[in-house]
Amino acid sequence: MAIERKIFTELDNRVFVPGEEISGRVEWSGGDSSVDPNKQVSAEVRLFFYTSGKGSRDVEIVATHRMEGIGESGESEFRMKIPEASPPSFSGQLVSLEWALEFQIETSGETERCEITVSPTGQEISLYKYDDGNLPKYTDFAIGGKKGQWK
Amino acid sequence: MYFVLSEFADEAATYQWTETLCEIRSVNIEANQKKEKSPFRLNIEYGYIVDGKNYTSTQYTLKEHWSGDFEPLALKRKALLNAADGTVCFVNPKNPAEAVVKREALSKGLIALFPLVFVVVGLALAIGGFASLRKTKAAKKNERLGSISNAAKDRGGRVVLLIMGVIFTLVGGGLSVFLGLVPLTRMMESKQWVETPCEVIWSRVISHRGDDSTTYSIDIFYKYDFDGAEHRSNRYGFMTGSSSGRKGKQDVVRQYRKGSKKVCFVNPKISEQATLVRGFTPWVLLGLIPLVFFGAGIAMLIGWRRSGKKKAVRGISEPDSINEMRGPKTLKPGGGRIAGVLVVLFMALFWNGIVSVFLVQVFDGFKRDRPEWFLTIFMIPFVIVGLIFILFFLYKLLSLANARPEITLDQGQPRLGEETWLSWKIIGNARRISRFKIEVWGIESATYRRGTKTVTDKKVFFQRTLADSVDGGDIASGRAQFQLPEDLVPSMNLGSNDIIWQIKVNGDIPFFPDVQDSYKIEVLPVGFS
Repeated sequence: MAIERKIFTELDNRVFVPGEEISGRVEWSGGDSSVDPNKQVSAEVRLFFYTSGKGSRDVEIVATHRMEGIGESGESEFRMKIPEASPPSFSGQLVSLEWALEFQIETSGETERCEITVSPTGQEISLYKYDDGNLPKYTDFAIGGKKGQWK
Repeated sequence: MYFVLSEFADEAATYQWTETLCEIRSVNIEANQKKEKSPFRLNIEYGYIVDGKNYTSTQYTLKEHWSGDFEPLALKRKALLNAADGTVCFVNPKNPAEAVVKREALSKGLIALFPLVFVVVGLALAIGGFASLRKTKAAKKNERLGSISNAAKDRGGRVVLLIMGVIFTLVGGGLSVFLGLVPLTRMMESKQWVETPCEVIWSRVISHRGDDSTTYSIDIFYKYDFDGAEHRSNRYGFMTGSSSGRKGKQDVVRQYRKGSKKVCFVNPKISEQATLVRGFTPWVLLGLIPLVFFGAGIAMLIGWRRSGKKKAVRGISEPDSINEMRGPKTLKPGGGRIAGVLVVLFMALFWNGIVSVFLVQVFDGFKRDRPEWFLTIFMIPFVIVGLIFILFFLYKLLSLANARPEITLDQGQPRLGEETWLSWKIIGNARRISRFKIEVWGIESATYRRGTKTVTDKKVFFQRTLADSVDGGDIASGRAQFQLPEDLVPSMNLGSNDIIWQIKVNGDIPFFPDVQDSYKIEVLPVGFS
């Protein structure tokens, strides 16, 4: 029987600011029939951010809540703090950064993910908010070109 | 490898032999023209006493050595004859009739380890391949399981990068020194050597047959008088080794026929050192090719070091200290003008050095009224690229003469949403600048693999002009206030993806390369304390 996993954060809050504490709970039920029911199983809730877009994915786990010796069904509360020096959620044309919580039970390895937003402004930041259509093109080298213009 | 190790074991045994004082009776260098590749041998006769009994030996080293170079043997002969306190030899305690004057350096046993380099490289590639395969499998598994965070735990491949980096650095650096820098240094020193008449004893082209092809080298043996003594040498120039192209070498050998009187150049400090050709030849630049491997090795080591850096939370720059954040900071331009010039100079020398080798052949062909048209046409695009490198170098060189802007931020690490003052001062002649502009840019950077190459794309997401002046007084120095919006992102270094903030300075100079500098700044997030 498949394990059902759920993650809940308090007050269904999905938006946080750096330095804020995330509290919530996870629930799971069902079991893996191939696993010895007496075996002690572990699970983790991870707080992390990752990039998406053109570049290779960067992933960084910033906090982990570990649960040892859990049974086939149960629930657990967790509290994790988002570090103050945390990159905010943002979206650009080459790079986007997103935050998420993942709940993973050791035996099956399957994961439940819950996307959250971490931002001092309360919203995901758009990099090109101030694009007036005249942004220069980036180049490493500069030779010649129109005077007064970045080459 | 077995034979090398076996030989090494025999040599190592001589380090157990007894050190004994011996009397050198004669030392001479035998020259046997019939032995093509190694015609010279040091012949020695010496006597020693063990347990009251006299012994005579003619063994210099354990294994008989014939050499292709006369000069090292002449120097050894000189050292043996001039040994003021007598010469020490090493006698086999189990068989006193067996003795040697010189024991091979144990470091030569490291030659046996040379094949191990290939084994290590092969292992490293295999480990890298397995790590890559494991990473791909793990990534597929994570995709199936729906996990993204699992990828953060998988940081394989660093060991491979370290091993490859060390090997490339050591081998590339070592080869550059021995094949490039050492001959180059000696070429420069030989300019002080004394022009001396010499007589050719023999001259010939020697063939070196390889698996796929045959290469050739010049062998000219000559004698000369210097400092009241007769000397001999077979050095033609300072580039050793053999190469393809028999004809060119045959032409040289024809100019040095047996018995002909020629001019050689003798080292006035060491009369055993002489050469027929001195000074710089472009061929020596080929010896600098291993610098590419050295550079690749350094890049790998830098990449290894950077990939291991961990911050408390990777990404946001943290203020170095409260004082640094609050205090003024003078910015340094990124890249460095002199470094830029040197990089372009190196590229120009490297490229044109290699191209010149083939150009010499082209010119030789025209000189002999036998032009090589295919080679001539083939070389045209390479010559054009070489000329572009030279012009780019001259452009960079001119820009060194430009005035240098000095930029100071009142808040060394400005914070989003906070007012910051920037001041500038032009060091040098600001009057040549007709227009002066300072901007702040926000740049997103993404690095990814495209096939076998690693590519980095950058895009400007934010730009604001801080100063734009055509007035001389305002150009030479000034201040500007700016405030970065708090609903943008601070500087970030995430690994493959970065957010970079830069101050860009441009000074238009009519009919001259412009002043163009960029200064990386660390922007802190909102409300960071």
